Amino acid sequence: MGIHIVVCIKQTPATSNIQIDPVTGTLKREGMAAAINPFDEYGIEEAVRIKERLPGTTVSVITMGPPQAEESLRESIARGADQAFHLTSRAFAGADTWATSYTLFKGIQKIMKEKGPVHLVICGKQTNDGDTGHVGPGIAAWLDWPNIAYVKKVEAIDDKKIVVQRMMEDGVDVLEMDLPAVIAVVKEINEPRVAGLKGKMAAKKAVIPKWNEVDIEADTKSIGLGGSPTVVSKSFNPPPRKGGVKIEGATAQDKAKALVDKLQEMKLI
Amino acid sequence: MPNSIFVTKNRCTGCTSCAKACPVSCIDMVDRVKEAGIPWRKLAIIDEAKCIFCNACVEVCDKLGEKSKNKDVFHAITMVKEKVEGKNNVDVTLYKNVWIYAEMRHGTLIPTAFELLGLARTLAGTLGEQVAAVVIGKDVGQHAQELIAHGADIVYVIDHPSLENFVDELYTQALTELILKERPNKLLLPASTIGRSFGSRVAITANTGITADATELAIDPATRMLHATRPSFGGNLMATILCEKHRPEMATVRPMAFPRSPRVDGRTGKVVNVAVEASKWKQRTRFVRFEAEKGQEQDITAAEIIVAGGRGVGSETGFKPLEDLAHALKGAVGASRAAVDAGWIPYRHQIGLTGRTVRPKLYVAAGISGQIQHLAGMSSSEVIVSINKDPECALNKMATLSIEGDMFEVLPAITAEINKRRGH
Repeated sequence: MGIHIVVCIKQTPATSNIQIDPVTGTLKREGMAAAINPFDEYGIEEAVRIKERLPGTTVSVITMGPPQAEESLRESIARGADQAFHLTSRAFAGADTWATSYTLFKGIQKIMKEKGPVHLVICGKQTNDGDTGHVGPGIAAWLDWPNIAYVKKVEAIDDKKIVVQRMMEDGVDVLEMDLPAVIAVVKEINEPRVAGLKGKMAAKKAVIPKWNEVDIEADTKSIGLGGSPTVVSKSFNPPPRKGGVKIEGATAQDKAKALVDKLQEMKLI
Repeated sequence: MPNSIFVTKNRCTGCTSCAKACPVSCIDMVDRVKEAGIPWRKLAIIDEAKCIFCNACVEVCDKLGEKSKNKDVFHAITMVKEKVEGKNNVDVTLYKNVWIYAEMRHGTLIPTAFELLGLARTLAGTLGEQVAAVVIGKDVGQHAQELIAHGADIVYVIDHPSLENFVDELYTQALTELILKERPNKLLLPASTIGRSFGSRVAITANTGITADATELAIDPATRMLHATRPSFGGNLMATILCEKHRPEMATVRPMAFPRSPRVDGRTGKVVNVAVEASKWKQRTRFVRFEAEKGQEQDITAAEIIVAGGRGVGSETGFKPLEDLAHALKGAVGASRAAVDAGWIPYRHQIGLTGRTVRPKLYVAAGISGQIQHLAGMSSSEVIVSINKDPECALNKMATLSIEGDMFEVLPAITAEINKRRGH
């Protein structure tokens, strides 16, 4: 029996294009291309793989972001998702992880209202721009569903429960969860496919609903910058690291000796 | 009125400093329409829909304005922040003490628990408050004394058979109940898999804000607020985060960022055994089994010394000299994405933007050129040694100590030299 999966994604600056300004040593950000957050690609792929395992499964994709984030939703459809939903409004801007997970939660509730029950929510383990990993577990808290983060393998799934492997510092935890539930996945879980022609055609034709705070019936005191408990009080570029000493020597042995001398001096060995 | 931000056209010189400072790349430099008296060719345009209103561009433009002799340029960006009235305001004076979550893994307190205790003592000192540790698990009460010896004034023990293994929803319910009852002022968790996993869930159920992966933490003595500074975008931007109106202010703290607090024998403190009513909790997750990492490998995020290899390693067997050196240094083996994607070493060793972030005392890179994505995961290491055939590669240029050479000659020579000096 098929299930309904919602994958949460974010459009972020593409990491493959990152360059360092040779003069200032800081990131070059002008004209940086946007793409699906790389960890979310694994989320989309895993949802599509579950759909292949459980025929009749529907994969929905949702994002909160500015109008141009629609590109990333079409890209998700090209990669095998069935439908996409776009939460977009000026009122969502500046949200921290608390307000972001609340907004996505309200969006998921709206999907359930329109399309029927959701069994599984999949997120990437974190975004490459914020690096927090907080939104996936946060959505689970709002939904009051169980959740597991850092999932590296889905061992088994049906319409009642899911068995997953969680990547820990010292090995792997295997856990079983009742559905509905939320998981956040790591890179090791799969290798995302390239979009095929059929997918690209579907992406082109797809009608993607745009929902604002009124559509998802969000409490306006809990969204955007105003609804965020945390605020950025200042941000700064860390001082660039200056190069140090080049170890010279005629042979590898000489260089090794000179290096070990230095490391002993620094009391590192 | 929502937030707004705009550029005063005739003050913008098109210098691109704001675009470089923007953490979300929402500033574009566009060509100016030629106007009489304006020599500048570019103009900054801010995409308000993408802007997070962090003020970084305003600061950099204003700073240039202070330095500039020409008073007609710079100070070009104006930001108007939305005023938010009284959402979920709490009486912050009701919240006391600095708490840490003392994470257990298979019957042992993790080293970061002691780093958090040291940090909490400093913060509590500024506040004139006490340090409390929370330990959750099965048969964990025996560790209370150790936490007291290392700096805890109070230890809350949440002990129950159902808490033997880490399960997000159970640990969240246990910790949230205690927070709502005892009202801590600050709460620090390790930025480990466990801490990062359920910290966010706790913050939402306890209705407060959390900062992820902080590397610098301080109390402002005037406001008594926690200033948590964290790297984002792979360490290329530092942001200081405040949680003004909710308590406790929560943060996960990066392992290895603070020294461990020393043990003081004979130190005394209070142990509170927390009453647990597990039958009230929702239990929809079941722990099945644990599969330990094969071999005696050290975890890279907790290692003080890391020897890492990249594309230059060339093969799976090419990692042997790295493992030998790591063994001699009692360190862990890491890798760049290139080596992991080539299948030479498992993903758990990957350091960088799509792998793990590390901050060891010594980072030895062999055959890694230093792509920005890799640097993002290791550039805050204390001492970096890079060995590469190419002396001009990014890692050799930024390393504390660099060696131009073939890693397959240099690494064994270093290992031999260390073993020789140790008298092996």
